[in-house]
Parts: sequence; structure tokens; C-alpha cells
Amino acid sequence: MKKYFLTVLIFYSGVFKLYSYDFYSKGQEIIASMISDPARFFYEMKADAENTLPVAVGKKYVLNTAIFPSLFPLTYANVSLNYNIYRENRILKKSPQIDLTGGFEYMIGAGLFANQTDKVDDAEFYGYHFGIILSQSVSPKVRSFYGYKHSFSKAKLTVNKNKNLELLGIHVDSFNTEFSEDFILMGMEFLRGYNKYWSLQINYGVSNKTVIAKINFRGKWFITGFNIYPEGAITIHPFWAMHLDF
Amino acid sequence: MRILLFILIFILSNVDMYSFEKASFVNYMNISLTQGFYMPSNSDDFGGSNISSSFGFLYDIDAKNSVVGVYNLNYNGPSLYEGREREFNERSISSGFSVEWRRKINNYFRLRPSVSYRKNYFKSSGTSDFDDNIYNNTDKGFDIAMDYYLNANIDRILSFVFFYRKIEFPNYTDLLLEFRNPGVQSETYGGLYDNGLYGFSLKYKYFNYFFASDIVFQNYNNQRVLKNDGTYSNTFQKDREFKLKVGIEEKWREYYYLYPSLEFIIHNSNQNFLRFKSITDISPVFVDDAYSYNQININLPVNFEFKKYSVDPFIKYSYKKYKSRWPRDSDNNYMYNKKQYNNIFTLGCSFSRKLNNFASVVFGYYFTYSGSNNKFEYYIPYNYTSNNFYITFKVEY
Repeated sequence: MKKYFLTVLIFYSGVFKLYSYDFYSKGQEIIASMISDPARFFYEMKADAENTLPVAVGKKYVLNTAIFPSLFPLTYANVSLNYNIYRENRILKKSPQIDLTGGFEYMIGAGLFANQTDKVDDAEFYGYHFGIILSQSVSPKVRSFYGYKHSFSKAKLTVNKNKNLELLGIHVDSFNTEFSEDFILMGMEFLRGYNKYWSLQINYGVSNKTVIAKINFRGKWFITGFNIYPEGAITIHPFWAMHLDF
Repeated sequence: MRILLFILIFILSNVDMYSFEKASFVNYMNISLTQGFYMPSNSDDFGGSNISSSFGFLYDIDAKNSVVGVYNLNYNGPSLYEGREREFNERSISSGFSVEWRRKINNYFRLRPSVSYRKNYFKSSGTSDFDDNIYNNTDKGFDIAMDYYLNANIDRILSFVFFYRKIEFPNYTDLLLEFRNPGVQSETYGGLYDNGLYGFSLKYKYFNYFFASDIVFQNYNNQRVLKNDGTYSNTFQKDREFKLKVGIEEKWREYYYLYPSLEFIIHNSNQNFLRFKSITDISPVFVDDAYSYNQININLPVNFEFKKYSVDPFIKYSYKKYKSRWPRDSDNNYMYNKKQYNNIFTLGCSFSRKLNNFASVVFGYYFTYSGSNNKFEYYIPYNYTSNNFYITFKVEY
């Protein structure tokens, strides 16, 4: 499976585009996008840490920490907990599994950055999410899941008024914004082998028209894959997370 | 907390917990994720995503009654559609639901009333916003469909549908008034394009052949017809459309399918158009009956299936000719001795591989030729060729 998804990545950014790719301009475009809507931009950075997969059959809790790109290089310390509250078919036949999910993300590097430079007086980036995920078996190896997630993100940067903060030549002003979104989730998960799954899911934010597609590969300890933000400053986020099921 | 959830499940299971087990309840999910890359001759290469997803259920209450509910979400990113006139950079989101009740009256008749609600958002480029586009609309309405089975083998079906939609455009503004009075606040004129749409649809399926016809009446609530002096008349805008489609769904061998179709569209509108060449243009050109056209669509898809693989070549052709609108040259001057036509030809092929019973991956290529005698392409590109590639992931059950 992975080879197909890698093909997508190559397809999107490699074969057809690299020959004329201007990385500096793309960087400036990303900075411009960040300045125009900082809360949404940093939400997309932290959304990679939001685990919205159903709890594996036979497990009660899933503790998840996104390592790349959330913790490294963005320094988003993050934890996400998925808790199974009801097993599929436990009381009623054809009733779905019900999981609760929630998590918190805090960018520890922002405060350090503010302390290290005299151009920034204060910087604070954090967010949280919570939701409910229902899942049902379609076949012994396939589950569908759907649910709701609320996400919040705060982005605050106070620039020293006496200094000029520039990133890739673009002037950055102070901002203090929030991003709040209510998502509808739907997706399917496939068992590939012992403790190995892959899944495709769509998250649609009804408040701000945020669209996210997630392609995940879940192993015993790690989850990897791509998060696709079609309207985002960076369209495809490769990611890598660690999880503990018990 | 658990007790509350258990109570909720009991309620959802129709109070009687055993009815939930006895009745047939089937979920449905379909997600398609496409990443395309487009190389048009008239602009830079670009890439974009398309997402199509639906989630629903079929609940058989008893042998004669069932309910189907579907939630749809579609996102169309920057792309070059197979034969659709639009800006390359336009993005759209469409989300909504429909609920249909299927009632089997007897062995020959089935009634299918349904309600639907949908929100459509547009964005003209990557930097604009989905919230303030003038074409954003809410579409709500109902259908009443009746199927008549002419024999017991379900190979001859006559379907009749009456449909009604109320379409509201909260941001749509009077562009002419704003153009002439730059200080006017657009919010004052929101809802100008609100309309009620109703129509009848008839479809006859005879073994593998089908014949379908639609008649659509679209009446605008506030939009009045423009006069040649630039003022509005007392007549409201009314659009009428007649569609006729014939086709075959032919299975020649175990692995070979053919789905040719031919469609005719006659679109009539009483609305006119006033062309200002610039903001200082003091003698605008009046185009009477500017939006009426005739169109023909030819579609020839073929499907070859070999176990886990399938190959789907296709040809599409669309020709649209306006009844009264003149084409413009590249300087925005009308050519009065001609009538505008647009045609789009698409030739492509996709190759798909099943990953398992529920998922597949598709690699595709199509070539697009778009031609028109209208050379003024400030808003919509008309004359170009393009090579397009895409890869799609689908999951469905």
C-alpha cells in the first residue's frame, strides 16, 4: 500500500514540479499564508497530532504522541488519548463501538524563542481537541468509522514594537487569533496483518469549511502516513506518531 | 456516563431493542481522494485535490418500507474538469444530506418521496474565502418519485419524478448596480439570485437501453430582466431547460462493458446582458437573450475488467451554441456576424487496481481540447489544450 501513497507524494511534488520549483517563493508563500490567517495556519500544524482513529479491538486506551512534524521540528508537545467506552455489539447486535477522544498540544519552543530573541516579546501557541468516534465492522478485516471532533487552536505572537521581524524577507506583525472548528469525521480502516492497519478518513469542518484527508498506516507502536490539507499553506504533511495501546 | 450511552443506544434502536436486530440495517460509505496534475497550454501547470465522500444507511423497516439516508461531502480543488467551463483556480465545497422513503405499493409500483438539504460554497482562488463568495448557495427541496415495473424481471422500468428546490444566494449582489455605484454596499442586495426550481423527470429503462427526459422551470424571486437602457423591467428572470438523454448500458462479454450516451439540452432564459468594456464605457453593448443556448453531449466510456484490474478508456464531447450571444475578440469587441459556440473534447484512459474488496487505486490520464470562437478569456478560459494526470484512492462498501 505504502508504495501507492508514496507515488501520490512524488506525483504531487516531484516528477512534474521539481524541475521548476522555486523553494524560496514557496517559503514566502507559506509565510504570507501564516500572516494572513495565523490561527488556521498553526491549527494545521497541530492537527497532525489529533488522533481520530478508533481504538483497536481488544484495547481500552490509546495514548498517542505525534513526533514529526508536531514535536520535531515544531516543538508542539502533544498527547492524545482515545478511550473505548462501549464495545461493538456488546449489548445490542449491530450497535457500533463508541470511543471518546481528546488531547492537548502546546508549542514549548514558542516561549523559548521569545526569551532568546529581543524581536519577540511574547509567543504562545496551543490547542486542544475532543470528540466521539463510532466504528462498525464491515467484514472481519474492515471497519468503518464516523464521528464528531471539536478542535481549538490559539496563536499569539507579540512583536517588539521597536524591532522589525522578518521571515524570508516578509515583515511579520503581532497577532493574537483563535481558531475553533467542528468536524464531521468519516473513514475506513483495513487490517493488513497482525497489528498492522491502514486507513483513509475525511474530516470536514463545518464552521470554517476546513477539509482534511488522512491516510494512516498503523503498526504496533507507530502511526505514519500523510495528512492532506487541500486548502492549506502546505498541502501534504507527512507525519509520524507513536502510540501505546493498553 | 456509560448508563447514558446505553440509554441512547436503546432509543436509537427504535425503543424495542429486538426490532433493531430483526430489521435489516446496512451502512454505506464511499470515499474517493484524487490528486491531479494539470498542464494547460494557456497557463502555468498546477495541481489540486478532489475529495468525494458519502456516508449513509439503508434501513428495511419491513418488506414494503425502507428508508435511505445519505450525507455527502464533495471538495473540488483547482482542477481542469473533463468538459466543464470554469476557472482553473476555482474551489468548491458541497455538503448536504438526503433522506428517501421507499414504499413498495404492489408488484408494479414503488413510491420514493425524499427531502434534501445542501450547502454549496465557492472560492475563486487560493487567497480568497469560502464565506463571502457571491455564488454560495443553500439548496433545499423534495422529490416525489414513482417507479412503474412493466414486468416482474425489473428489466423494463418507467420512472417519473417531480422535484422542487428552493435555492438561496445570501451573498449574491447586483453587480450592475455596484459597477455603476461603487459606494453601494453589497450586503443590501444579498439574495438577489434566490430562485425556486421545479421540474419533471421521466426515465424509461428497456433492458440495457435507457431514455431520460427532464423539464426544469427556474423562477427568480428578485432578479428582474435587464432592459436595453440599463434599467430593470418589471418582469422577473425565468429560465427553462429541456434535456433529452438516450444511452446503452451494454455488457458484451464477462469483462467488457460499454456505456455510450447522447444528451441534448435546450436552455432558454429571458435575461439579457449589458457589456461595459471598461469602467469609463459610456456606450455599453446590450446583448438580448444572452443566456439561451443549445447543447449536445456525447459520452463514450468503455470498461474492461480483468480480475483485480480494470482499464477504462473514454471519449467525451460537448458542443454548446448560444442562440443570440455574439462571440468577442481578444480586445473584448463583439463580432456581430457570428454566434458564440464552445466545444470541449476529452480523450482519456484510466487504469485501476483493486487493493482488496473495498479499496482500489486508479491512475489516469486525459487530454482536453477546448475551443471557442470567443477569444475574450478574462474570466473563463475557452481556448486551450491540456494534458492531465491523476491518481485516485477509493474505498467503498
